Amino acid sequence: MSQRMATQIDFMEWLEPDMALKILTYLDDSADLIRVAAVSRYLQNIVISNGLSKQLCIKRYPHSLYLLENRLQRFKLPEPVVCIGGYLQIELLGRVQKQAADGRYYICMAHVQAIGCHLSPAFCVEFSEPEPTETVSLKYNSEEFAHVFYGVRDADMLGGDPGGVNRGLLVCDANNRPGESRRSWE
Amino acid sequence: MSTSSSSSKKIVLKSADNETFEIDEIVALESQAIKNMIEDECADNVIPLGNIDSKTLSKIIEYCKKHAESPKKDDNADIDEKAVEDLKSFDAEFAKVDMPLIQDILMAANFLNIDNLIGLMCRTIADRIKGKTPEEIRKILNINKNDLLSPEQEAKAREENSWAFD
Repeated sequence: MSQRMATQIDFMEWLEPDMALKILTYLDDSADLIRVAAVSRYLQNIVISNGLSKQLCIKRYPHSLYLLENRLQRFKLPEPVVCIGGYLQIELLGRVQKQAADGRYYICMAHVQAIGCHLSPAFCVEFSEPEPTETVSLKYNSEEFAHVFYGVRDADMLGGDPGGVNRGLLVCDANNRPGESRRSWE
Repeated sequence: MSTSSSSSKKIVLKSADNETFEIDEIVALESQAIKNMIEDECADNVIPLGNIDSKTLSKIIEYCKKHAESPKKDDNADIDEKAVEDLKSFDAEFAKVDMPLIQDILMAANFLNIDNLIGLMCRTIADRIKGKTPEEIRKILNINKNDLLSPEQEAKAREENSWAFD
């Protein structure tokens, strides 16, 4: 059936492809791009053929670019991340994840290390109840925090390497949230 | 119909439904396409826009007027921030219209080659599909039902990136 016969016009198809592309480049969350790619074949084609996911990744996390070399490569996370137990998932965005021909993986990562610092005892994590909401709260203890903060700063002055990301988190919290405070992550 | 300052040169635009809009030339020059026509001296007294209806055209003229009278960024480095903020809030208000009109404005802006307006409309559409499910996006964009992924393809897409669908 001809597209023009349809009573409703598919707006994205009606636009020139570069205009549809322009709309999608304003999306700044990879989850949005992936959902858009599941909307229609036309949009999936635009997302894939222009490598939009990779472009977005490079735009948002320029420091996370790695080289295809067999050596240790370090990069900072763009923003502090709270990690509570569990697993570390590494997605090699922009890489072929799985060979289509045989459904196997041919990428090997020899070493992976994530460096961070303990938030306890300055912060402690609380899981809210009832359980289904899955809200996690960080509780902040100002006395302990002062200890941790000065500890990190002293280590830094002595030439230690506590990592810029951790330092950024602590300084930011010191300025913005004096005293007891709570913060939630969904 | 505009009846502002009489000294400047006027341009008349005619919509698909034969409504005429008289505007200052400086306003019309916001459109690169009309600017080219005027520079090439192939613009008559009346410029017919056979694919733009009067509702869309009046919105576009509203936009061009506002942007024509605002100081341009590259005019000088220290234009006052108030003007920039003012234009920003105008744009935000301007974009608060329903999807069909946004789509009409985008098509017309594309035809008339008004760069800022194209950007504004594209960003508005992107903002409206942020955080939405594929089903909701289909509804918002009026997606052609013949072009959907097969159930297998969609299941595969969801499975491979399940985190994006939670």
